[in-house]
Amino acid sequence: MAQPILEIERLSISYFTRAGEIPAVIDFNMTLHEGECIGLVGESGCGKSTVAMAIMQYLSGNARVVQGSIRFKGRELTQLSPRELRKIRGNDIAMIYQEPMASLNPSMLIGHQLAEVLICHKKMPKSEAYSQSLRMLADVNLPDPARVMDSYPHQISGGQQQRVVIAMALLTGPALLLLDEPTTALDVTVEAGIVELIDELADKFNTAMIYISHNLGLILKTCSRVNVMYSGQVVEVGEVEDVFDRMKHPYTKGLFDCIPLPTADKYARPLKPIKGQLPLPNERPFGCFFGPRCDHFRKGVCDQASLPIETLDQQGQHAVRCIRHEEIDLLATDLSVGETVEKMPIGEEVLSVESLQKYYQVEDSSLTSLLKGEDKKQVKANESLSFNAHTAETVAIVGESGCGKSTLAKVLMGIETASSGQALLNGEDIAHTHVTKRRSDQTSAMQMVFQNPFDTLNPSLTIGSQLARVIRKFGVSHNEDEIQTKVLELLDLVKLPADFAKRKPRQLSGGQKQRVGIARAFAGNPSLVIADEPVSALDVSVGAAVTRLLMNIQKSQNTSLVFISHDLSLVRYLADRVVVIYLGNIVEQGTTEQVFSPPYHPYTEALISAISVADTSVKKKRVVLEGDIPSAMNPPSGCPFNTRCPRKVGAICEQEKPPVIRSESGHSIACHIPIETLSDVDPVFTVPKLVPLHEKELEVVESF
Amino acid sequence: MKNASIFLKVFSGIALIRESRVAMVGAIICLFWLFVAVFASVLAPYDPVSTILPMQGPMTDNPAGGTFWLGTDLLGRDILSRIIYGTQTVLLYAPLATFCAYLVGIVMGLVGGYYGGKVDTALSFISNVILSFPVLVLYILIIATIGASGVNIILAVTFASAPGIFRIVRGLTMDLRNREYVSAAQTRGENALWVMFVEILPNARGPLIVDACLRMGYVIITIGVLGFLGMGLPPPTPDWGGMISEARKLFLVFPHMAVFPCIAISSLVLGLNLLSDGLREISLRD
Repeated sequence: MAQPILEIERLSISYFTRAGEIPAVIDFNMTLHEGECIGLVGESGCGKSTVAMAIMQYLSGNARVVQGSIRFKGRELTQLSPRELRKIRGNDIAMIYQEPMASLNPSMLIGHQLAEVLICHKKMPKSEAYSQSLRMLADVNLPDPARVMDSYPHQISGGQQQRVVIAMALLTGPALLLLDEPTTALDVTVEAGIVELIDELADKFNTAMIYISHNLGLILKTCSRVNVMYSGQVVEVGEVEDVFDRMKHPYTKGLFDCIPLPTADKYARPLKPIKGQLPLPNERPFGCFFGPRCDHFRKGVCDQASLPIETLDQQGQHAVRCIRHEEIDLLATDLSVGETVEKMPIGEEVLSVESLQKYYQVEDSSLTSLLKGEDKKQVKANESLSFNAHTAETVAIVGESGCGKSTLAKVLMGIETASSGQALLNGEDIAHTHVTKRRSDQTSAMQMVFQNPFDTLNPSLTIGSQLARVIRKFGVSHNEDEIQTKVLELLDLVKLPADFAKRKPRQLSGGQKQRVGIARAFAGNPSLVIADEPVSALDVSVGAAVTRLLMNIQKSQNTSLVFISHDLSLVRYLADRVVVIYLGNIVEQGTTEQVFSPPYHPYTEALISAISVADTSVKKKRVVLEGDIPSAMNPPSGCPFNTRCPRKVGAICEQEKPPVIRSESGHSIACHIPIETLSDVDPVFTVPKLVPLHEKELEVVESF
Repeated sequence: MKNASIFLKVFSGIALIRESRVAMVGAIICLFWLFVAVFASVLAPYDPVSTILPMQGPMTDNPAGGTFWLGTDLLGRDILSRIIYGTQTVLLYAPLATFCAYLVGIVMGLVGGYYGGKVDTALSFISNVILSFPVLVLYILIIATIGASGVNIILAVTFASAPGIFRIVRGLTMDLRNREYVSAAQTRGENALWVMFVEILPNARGPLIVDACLRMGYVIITIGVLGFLGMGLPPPTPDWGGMISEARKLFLVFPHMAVFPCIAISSLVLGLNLLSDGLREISLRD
């Protein structure tokens, strides 16, 4: 076999802080060959990025490689001088970061930034560097590369920026490409395009890649081998099929149980969160780091000396760091997953939104508009939205960023007022009443769970005082003792210990803060709760626990939940009904089963296809959208989706608003394509029916 | 119970300052001057306003007993005693003036930053107009119009510094008003005052405390300058700036009359600047 591109042996990295030495990566091994793509999976704080930075030899000042070696094409990287490293970085090893806007210099033309790489590393003449950059932009499937070369980064969209970053990384023909969460900051449909591109490039340029992600579905799509990391250690490594289908480590299994698969919903297969939370690096337990969170933990076995990583097959491909991997059968426990969730009877109507419209006035101070005499522009955030929500029902609002989801939430909550239309909450119109003018029973009847856990609580006040304020404000109680008891009840409701009442938000982890956010929303016994992407900023294992909690509270309080999300697998799992929004227009709505099976609106079809599935048995149809969401200031005429629609029928799409086709069962689609044609497509997913995994030969194919 | 928690807060504050050597040095200098101001009557060897023996150099013995450690001035007053009592003036008016400037600046900044739009435009316009005057001209104009007194110094400083504070608070508010906890407060129907003073202001305190230390240093210099220009406190009151001004003409012959008050002013300002630098460093660390 040829010499590997990268060999990492027994690598350990520590951060040296005031608190002493903190090991971030422990005993990391990896061998990477030409054209191979290895995935690095784990939750935040498990050391993924530290490994990548160590390969680049770009660790922060207080981090040091304490042991082990990193050899790149036989050269020991840890011993190179800064001068030699500069030659390698960007030339032989390139890296792609999460935030494309932050990776590009905002004040330089893209063409200039690209050519600079070649001029600097390859000493290429300017004209040649430009023409090669142009070819590379075409290679990453950017439309109109010449125009992109002459643009500044802010003039192109996020997806295009990330393509430019990828092109820049590939310009010098690097032998190794590091991708650190390259699609996390992008929208799902854009993500699908980028992942496809990365997959293609691996073959085209024969570059070895390390793909860092927390998303198992993306790893499945791009990588051949995968390393699962937990708290600084690799706990399982192997071929993607081995790890995904025959996982041996309880943590790997736990990760899979935390992500909703499009093959299951909340009634059939409830999410099973991993208990507890990631230990701080200086509080790692003795023996197996995963021990305290593991269902298979055995005292006296798992908490002994630190564990070696053991290979499972002759070739040494599949290895696991678990002392009990021979005794426990992870696959056998598959069907006995947790308790099942009972289906709730859907009650009376709580919220009814009728042709709700929200336009923003924006002053346009450009010279042309001044000359034309039009100094006001309208942002059409919500065009005409109609839907309703019932007691104990979960309605999901789905769409990409900029589609008007958050505006809708703002109008419902009363931070903004609607331009026209109405929203009836328990029979009263609230669309035109600003929150300060609503009665306290109206505000307490509808509350919100926010997106960002690090931003949702006032950092200056204790948890207890923040909850107490809500209770007082909503007039639940005015007696001090009663309020204190109620605060403790709320903390108990979200499964947090009572002494958290005295803590400040900075002493809480992200998941705990989000729990407090949920407690706050439910403090006034609301009849409707709006949750705006409540778990998108959390790690999968924490997110699963929070999702589960939210579901349980909703059930016990009989609340109606409006769940705003772009994550369709979570929506598929959680929602009873789904509303798909594109540019402020509802393109499709119906029950979850109706929306996730044909007939699809072409946009829904693309969204569903963009779900990354972490299941090797699922076959997926690929629908990748071209282009980006148009601006809400200047939406396309006719059907708003016509600029990106892969199934556009013709001029009618640009001229007329599509009719809304309603089925008797309440499923509606706004599209010019006749419903018969829409029904006549294959489902996006083809999945085997849920059968015991060891009986997979008896696959029954069912469609969604 | 309540006292214990206050002690704990003070203690943790001291522990925090100890993390930065710069802040520690600054705090020690400031505390030294505070100590001097509080115990002025004990520390000062002579009465600061009574004439004893004119124009003596440092370390001269007083025939009536005792020593003029830093000499005496034109009118025969003990310079050390005047500096010691001068501390009281400085440490009374500088914090008071800074506090008033902050009061005005914070209210303006919160209102402008939170409401935005026309209110903000109006407030910004007023502050820009004030800021466009040279500070010194502004002070002279104000004091010349309303006369020199302690209260008027506070008024002048407030008028001149509030626009700067307004800008800082406005910027912080515009950032903080988009936080989700502010939305949460709005959606539960809190009024604007609550949102501004409970949800926004406490979370802007870090940069404001740092700026307040720095600004207090400027105010001390300002009071010195006003004293130097004869617009400070009326004459017999011991005033550092006034002392330098009186010594100006004889500077080449008797430099001690100006040098010691100068050292007093710069050391106090230096102390405050070091404290503010150190606090900034600590706040950036976490």
